[in-house]
Amino acid sequence: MSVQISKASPSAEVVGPHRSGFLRTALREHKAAVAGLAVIVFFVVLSVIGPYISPYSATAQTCAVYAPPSAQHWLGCDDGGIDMLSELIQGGRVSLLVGFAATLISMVIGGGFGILSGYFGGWVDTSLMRITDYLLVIPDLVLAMVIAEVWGASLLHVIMVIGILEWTSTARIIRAEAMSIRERVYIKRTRGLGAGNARIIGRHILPQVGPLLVANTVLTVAVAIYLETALAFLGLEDPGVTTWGTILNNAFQRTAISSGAWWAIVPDGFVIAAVIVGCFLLGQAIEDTLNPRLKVAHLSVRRWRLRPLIGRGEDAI
Amino acid sequence: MRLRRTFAPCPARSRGPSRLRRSGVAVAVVMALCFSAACDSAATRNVFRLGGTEPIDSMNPFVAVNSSSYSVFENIYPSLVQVDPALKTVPDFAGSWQMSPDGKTWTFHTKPGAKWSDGEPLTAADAAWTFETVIKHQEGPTGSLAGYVAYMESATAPDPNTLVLKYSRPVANVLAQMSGIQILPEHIWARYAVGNGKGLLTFTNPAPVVSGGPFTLVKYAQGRIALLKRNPRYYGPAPHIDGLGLQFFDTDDAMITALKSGRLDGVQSVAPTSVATLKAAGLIVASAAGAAFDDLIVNANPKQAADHRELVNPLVREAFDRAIDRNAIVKTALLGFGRPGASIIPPSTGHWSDPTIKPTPYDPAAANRFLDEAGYRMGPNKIRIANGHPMSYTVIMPASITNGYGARSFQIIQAGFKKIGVQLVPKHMDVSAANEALFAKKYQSFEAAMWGFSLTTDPDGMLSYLTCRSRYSLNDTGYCTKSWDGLYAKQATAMNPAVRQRIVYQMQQAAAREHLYLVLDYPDSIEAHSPSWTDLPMIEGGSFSATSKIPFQTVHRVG
Repeated sequence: MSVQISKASPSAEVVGPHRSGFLRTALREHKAAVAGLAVIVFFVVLSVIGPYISPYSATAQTCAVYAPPSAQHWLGCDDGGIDMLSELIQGGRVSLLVGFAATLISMVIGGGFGILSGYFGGWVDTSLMRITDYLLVIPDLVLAMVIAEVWGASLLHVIMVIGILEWTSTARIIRAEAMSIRERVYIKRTRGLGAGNARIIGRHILPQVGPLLVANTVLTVAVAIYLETALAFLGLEDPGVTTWGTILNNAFQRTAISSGAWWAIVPDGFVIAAVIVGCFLLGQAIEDTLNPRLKVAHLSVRRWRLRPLIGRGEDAI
Repeated sequence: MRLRRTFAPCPARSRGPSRLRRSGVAVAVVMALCFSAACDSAATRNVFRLGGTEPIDSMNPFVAVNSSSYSVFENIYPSLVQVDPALKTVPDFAGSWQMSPDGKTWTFHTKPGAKWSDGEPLTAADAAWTFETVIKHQEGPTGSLAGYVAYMESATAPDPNTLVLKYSRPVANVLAQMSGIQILPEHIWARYAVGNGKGLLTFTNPAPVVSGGPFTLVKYAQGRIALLKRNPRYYGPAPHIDGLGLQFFDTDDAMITALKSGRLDGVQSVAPTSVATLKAAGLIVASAAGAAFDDLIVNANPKQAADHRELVNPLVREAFDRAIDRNAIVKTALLGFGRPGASIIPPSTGHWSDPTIKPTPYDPAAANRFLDEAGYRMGPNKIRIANGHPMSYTVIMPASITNGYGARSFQIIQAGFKKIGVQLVPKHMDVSAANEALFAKKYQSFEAAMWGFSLTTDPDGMLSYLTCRSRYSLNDTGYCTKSWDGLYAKQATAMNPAVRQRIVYQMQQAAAREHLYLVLDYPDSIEAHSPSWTDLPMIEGGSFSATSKIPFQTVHRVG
């Protein structure tokens, strides 16, 4: 009996070393992940040192309305006569802050729901997953708009709205992982040795699902930044705060397109896209590293195809 | 004259809440602009295609709210009188009129032999029926038009060409009122005015609409397009154009692009940021000081909820007024197309605006002093504490304000208020929700709002918004005092213009003293049209006017 058990354990051991260096592996195996990480690091560093390198104030008028790019104002000026470059740097600070803060909230909720649900199973699982299901089926943007309207426009509310909405898929993934870990023999042994639930979750489950949580975090940051931009573009954010989304909203409200002021829209759209793509590349690479089944074989034609929505391989739809 | 709130600093700036639907418009319009079965350029060449962003909300005058709806009514229905480009009252359906010596009876002589577009006779009886109906149901279905018949006791037509209006007291602005209310065809509408008159609200007045004005409405798709065709039976001078096509856009960008590419002949309410583009594209841009203002409203109800009752304190209101950088708003938000705001009666109304009321200067230091004096100490986070709670206020922002330069104005105000330790938190709402939020709990719960009024030359409308009677309809501050109502009644019946002017000045000073409205700016009305058209005057802030048929009678192609 004990021999059989020890035969079953290698699967856990194989995962173990593989996972410990997951970031390094991901970066080594996926060139795109390096680019993604570089983009993220670039914008994070830019946000941190932003106030020191920003050429002008991001709130005060320093040039003419919709002044085109010039030697003084590299990216031109927006509809309020504010230097676009300074505004992009400042907007990035806030947008990234919103993205990371909201993701933190959603990771805590999603990780917590997933682990509790997967580990305990039974009625805990049923009730937590029903809540998850409800939130999963409601379109994010619509619910975010409603909540943002009801609570009123402020940065904190936007962070909370996004955080509350974006944890559902994380919870699902973590739950599945927790369920499988729960059944592993060493967990059963640990319990046999008298460890309580808290200890098992803290010492064994959490470290195991950790990398998966990180992969999800990176992917969720992209979604959070996107959602923040969308909310701000729809005018649901405090107009007194500069974010990449409010920059777009201002340009849109004040006829930047028909005025030919591309510099009020294009650079902003570009940085949003860059960060989202960066997060996506890195997150995907980590996910691929952690889950070899997602990996595409070198002969496969699936490389550039969209991932199936449900299921993998044969049963994909 | 009482005017409906247009929910926008300029007519047609409000755009409705949705920005997500944009397609499918151009096709519909191309099809709609074809009068005849065969759609060729010859058939549409003499149609003026006008673009706007504030759609017609209803073809029923008892239901409609948006100013573009009223502009359509003016162009399809007769009015007794109208306003000319010099802002003088001139004949419309009534060729001449007299006032009795006591000022209580007005006799209008209407144009003989007039017909509705369906061939039925258009007489003074239609006018009498319209006014009588409004009077009869003014506490109910016709309430939105009741202001036009204030103090009117009866409207009778002793013969088909004579209309006699009897008032319970002399009314100073009868002609201004009569330029704003349109006459409806009795033979169409009478069947809906039976019983309690509720039927008046359910009639959709579908196209083709039986019309008496220079145009008939032949096609209408709610929120999208309206097509007006020249009415061959019109009693007045026939317009030069064959028709007027109206198309409504969700975004300024789409509208401006349509104008630049020749898919429109003219647009109403051009955003200040578009002026340079349009001029560069060779379009004719006209701007005029508009009878409109943008404002920040602060709850003026003395009985408001305790957690923001300090807003009634005159020191607080004055401090707020001084925290507003009006010059920055005019420079950045309006790009110079407007003036800093002062009195609630805009200077464009001429002699009705009190010139001694100047814009409150931007002076955060003084504002801070006032708040210190009031005893509201600076708390943590640099937000002052008033009566135990932080001075942080929710500002209701209707969609009509945030779509356009309103968000920029708000940023400037918000930055100014921050300097005096007051936090402003915007709350976005659509227009009707914003109205309800103001009236909620008998004006006790709202704190502040950003909005605007679009007015006419006669000051009666604006002054009436501050009366107790206007509460829950157009009174947006919750203000209600006996003295104001007394002055309002006095000016309404002052037949001597000089006396009335004095009372109107007195009222403006009272409003300025109490900082009832923090008037931000008087935005210019800006319109643009293609150089192939000419003679399209702007009257009271626009060519597509609710008080005059003249602009679209005179407009014609160049050459």
